[in-house]
This record gives sequence, structure tokens and C-alpha cells, in this order.
Amino acid sequence: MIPSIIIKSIEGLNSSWGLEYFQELNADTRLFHPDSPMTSMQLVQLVARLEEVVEEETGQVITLADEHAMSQKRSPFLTIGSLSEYITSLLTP
Amino acid sequence: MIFIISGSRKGIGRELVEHYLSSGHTVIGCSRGLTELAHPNYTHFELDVSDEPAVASMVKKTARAHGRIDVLINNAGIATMNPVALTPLTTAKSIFNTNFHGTFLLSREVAKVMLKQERGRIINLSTVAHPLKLEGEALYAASKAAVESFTQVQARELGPTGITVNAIGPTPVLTDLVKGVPKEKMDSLLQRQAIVRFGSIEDITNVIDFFIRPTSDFITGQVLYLGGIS
Ligand SMILES: NC(=O)c1ccc[n+]([C@@H]2O[C@H](COP(=O)([O-])OP(=O)(O)OC[C@H]3O[C@@H](n4cnc5c(N)ncnc54)[C@H](OP(=O)(O)O)[C@@H]3O)[C@@H](O)[C@H]2O)c1
Repeated sequence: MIPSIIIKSIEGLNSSWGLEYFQELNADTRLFHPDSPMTSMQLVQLVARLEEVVEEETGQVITLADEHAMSQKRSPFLTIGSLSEYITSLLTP
Repeated sequence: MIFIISGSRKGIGRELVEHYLSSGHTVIGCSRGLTELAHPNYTHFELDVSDEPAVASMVKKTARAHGRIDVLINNAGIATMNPVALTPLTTAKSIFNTNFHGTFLLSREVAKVMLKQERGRIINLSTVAHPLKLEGEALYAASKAAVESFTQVQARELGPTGITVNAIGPTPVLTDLVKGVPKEKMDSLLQRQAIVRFGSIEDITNVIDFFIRPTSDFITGQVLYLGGIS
């Protein structure tokens, strides 16, 4: 469920970002990564959108803030896959 | 407009709530205690501003209920009068928790909502205790110095987004916060101002009204002190 929430959220936001890079989305798509055109402000917009949708879908309030956000090795925001794992780890089953 | 004002049970926060309600706005307030204020356009959340899940939930509920948040006023604050040598670590931590971490959490959460609107106004409460380097108020002044620095950096981060972040530094205003300050100390403090008198709520709303009006969209990262302090 989480990967599809992320994909839908990016698709929604990309209608105003207009980035060709995000036309095809899968678990390996790079998000806040040196090879991706996503800016830090776009990442913040995605985080805000995801917190909202996750709450709508699961009823759980989560905060996506991580001390490694800007790290190229350990950031959960590097790819759709890593972000999905991170969100899943914050949700209580 | 939709306002969130922290620390709204009493003092300056309570007066700010009444000011903006009387101008026809909708206000969401919060503080640790319950409020006596009952008004159809006012909603109160009983929470500590340093409680991350409680703050996140209040902001999300507000955004859902009203569809937007136009103005955030980070007013909740506490102070102590104590020389550094006699200040317990627990006091230092609680001052930073409310004054700085509370401001940080509310600003972070509300900015996410404002980003979607591509406009918004964040106003933080500082104090002249910081520029005046007031003895006996080291922790309070340091926590507000942190708020000022935070204001200036967040203003830059949000620069391209239509959201402005500014701070106001009032001189002493007669509220419970300054109740414990001895009279001689207060008198000598007022004497250091260019204009020697207590501040009033109107002095504060005047500055906040200036920061929030639409034509102030080129004013961000500023700290405006009252009474001629700089
Ligand atoms: N008065 C002055 O002379 C003066 C001068 C310069 C700057 N300021 C600043 O103005 C702001 C308001 O001060 P004030 O004079 O109105 O103080 P006050 O009369 O003591 O009121 C403080 C307010 O903040 C709330 N509060 C305190 N800790 C909180 C927490 N952890 N979480 C949520 N709410 C909290 C209190 O309600 P609860 O007890 O219900 O939580 C109360 O509503 C502060 O930021 C202060 O630093 C004041």
C-alpha cells in the first residue's frame, strides 16, 4: 500500500512540478538523490502530502523527519523504495 | 483569515486571540491549561508546545477543518529570573523546550501546510532581554536568541515559497511573566529604552498587523524590537 501512496503523491505533485524525470515511477526511482532533479522544497512538499495521505489511509499521524535526510548514504528519502520502508517502520501494525 | 496562536490561555497570547477574533478572524489557540474563553470562532487545544505528536495533530486537524492556515504566532513562552550559577539544568531544559523547541515544532508543521497554499505568515515572539543582555535572564535570553536565529534561517529556507517569517521583540509588558521581577530591576530596564514606558498589547498587534498584511510579502527574516532597543 505505501509504495502506491508514494507514487500517487508524486504524480499529483508532479502535475505542478512538471518534471519529466518523474514520468515513470517505481521502487528504484530516485527522490532526494544527487541523480534526481528533486529540490529540497519539493521534498518538503512530498513529505507534507505523504503525512496527510498516510493519515487518511491508516488513521495514524506520523512525522517524516529524519536526521539523515541530507545524507547520501543513509537518507530514507533516497528512493521510493527506501521511503516506503521508512514509512512502514513508523506505522504501528 | 485562519490564525494559530500558541500560549493563548492568558497574557499576551490571550489578548492576541481577542484582538484577532474581534477583527473577524478564526483563531486556534493552545496552551497546557484549559481556557475560559468561549467564542464561536475560537478553538482551544490543551497541549504542551514541545509535545511533537500533539502539535502535529493540532496542525493537521486545523488544516483539515479550515482548509488553510494563514498566520502562525509562536507566543507560548516561559521565563525565570536566576543567575546562571543558580540555574538548575531542569529549568534550562524546560525554558528551551517551550521557547525554542515549541517554536521549532509549530513552525515546521505549519510551514508544511503553508507551502501548499504558497503563502503564509509566521511571527515569533522574542524579547529585548536578548539585545539588552539582561543579567539574571541568561537562559531566557539565550532561548530567544535561538528563536531569532531560527527565524532568520527559516525565512531564507522559505524565501521562494510566499511564506514570510519574522519576529517581534517586545519590551516589558505587565503580564504574569514579569510578575517576579523586582521593581528596581524593572525601572532600570525601562530606563534603557529610548522611550521609557511599559509596552502594551497595541504595540505588539501593531507590529504583527504590519508583518501579516499582504503588502509585507517582501519583509522576512526581520526582528523588530519595541521601545527603541536595537
Ligand atoms: N510580558 C513581557 O514583558 C514580555 C516581554 C517580551 C517578550 N514576551 C514574550 O511574550 C510571550 C508571552 O508572554 P506573556 O507575558 O504573555 O506570558 P504569560 O502571561 O506567562 O503567558 C504565557 C502563556 O504561554 C502558555 N504556555 C507556557 N508554557 C507553555 C507550553 N509549554 N506549551 C503551551 N503553552 C504554554 C501559558 O498557558 P499555560 O500555562 O496554560 O500553558 C500562557 O498562556 C512569551 O514568548 C514571552 O517571552 C513577553
